[in-house]
Amino acid sequence: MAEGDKTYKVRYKNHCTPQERLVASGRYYLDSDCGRKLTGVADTSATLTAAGTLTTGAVISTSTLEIVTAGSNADFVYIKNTGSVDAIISLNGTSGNYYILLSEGEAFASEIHVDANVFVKTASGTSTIEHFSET
Amino acid sequence: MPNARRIIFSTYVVPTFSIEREETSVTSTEFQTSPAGTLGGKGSASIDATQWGDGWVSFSHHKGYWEDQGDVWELQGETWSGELSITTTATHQDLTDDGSDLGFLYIKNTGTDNNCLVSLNGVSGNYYIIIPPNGSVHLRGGSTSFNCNSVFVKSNTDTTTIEFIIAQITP
Repeated sequence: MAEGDKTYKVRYKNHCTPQERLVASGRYYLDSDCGRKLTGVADTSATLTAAGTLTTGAVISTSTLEIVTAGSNADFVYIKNTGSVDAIISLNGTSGNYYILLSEGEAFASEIHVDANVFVKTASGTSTIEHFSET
Repeated sequence: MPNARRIIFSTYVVPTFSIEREETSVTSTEFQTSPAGTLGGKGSASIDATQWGDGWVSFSHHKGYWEDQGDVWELQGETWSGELSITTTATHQDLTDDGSDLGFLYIKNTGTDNNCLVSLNGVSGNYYIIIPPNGSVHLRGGSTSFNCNSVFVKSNTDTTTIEFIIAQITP
C-alpha cells in the first residue's frame, strides 16, 4: 500500500441469545437446547474499493424501494427499521421473496452476492429505514 | 418442556478505512465519513415453545435418539461438536426438511478458510447471503411462504462448518 492509499473495511457482528421460560409469566433463562449465547464477528471477505454512504429517514410503503441494484457490485448491506411499522426485505428483486422481517429498531446486516437486488417495503402502512451499502 | 421461547438479537456494524501515512508502515484507521460512526439495531423474536424437532439448534446431535444410532454408542470414538460440515454441493444440505413457517434463522460460519453461502428460496435459489469465516447472519422470517426447509447452505469452495438455529413460528 502506497502513501495516501486507502483500504476500506466493514466489520460486522450478529449476536443472538436464545431464551426459554418454564411457566407463564415466569422469568426467561438461557435456552437449554442451545446452552449459550451466539456471536459471529467478521470483516467482509470481498475487497472493498470505495466508501459506503449511509441514508437515513428513507420512507417506505407498500411500494417497493430499491436499496441495492443487481450487478452494482455491492458487497455489503445494512438495513435498519427506524419506523414503527414492520418492513420486509427481498434480496432477489422487486418481485422476489420478501422473506426477511424487520420490526422497529431491528437491523439486518450481511455480506451479499454482487447479483443481489435488494428491495424493501411494508405489508401495509408506511415506515422509515436507514440503509448502508458498500462495494 | 418450556412454556415459551424467544430470541434476543442485535447487529453491530463498523465501517472504517485505513490510510498509509508518510512514515513507512504506519497506518491509521478511521471511521468512514458516512456514517462517521457505528451502526446497529436490536430486537426480540418470539418463536414456538415446541419446535419442529431437536435439530432446530445444531447443538443437538441429529442422531440423538437411541433408535437412530446405527452403532453401539460406546464404540463410537466421536462426540457431536455442534457443528455441521458442508461442501460445495447444496443437495441434501437443507438444514431441515420441516415445512413449518420460519420464525428466526441464525447461521455462523465456524470454519477458517471458506465462505458459507445461504439461499432463502430453495436448493436452486439465490445464494445471495455470504458468511465469511467466523462471521454470522441472523434474520426473522417475514412470510408464510418462507419455511424452515426453504433454507439451504453450501461452501463457496471445498468445505466449511456452521452452527445454526432454525426456529419455527406458528402465525
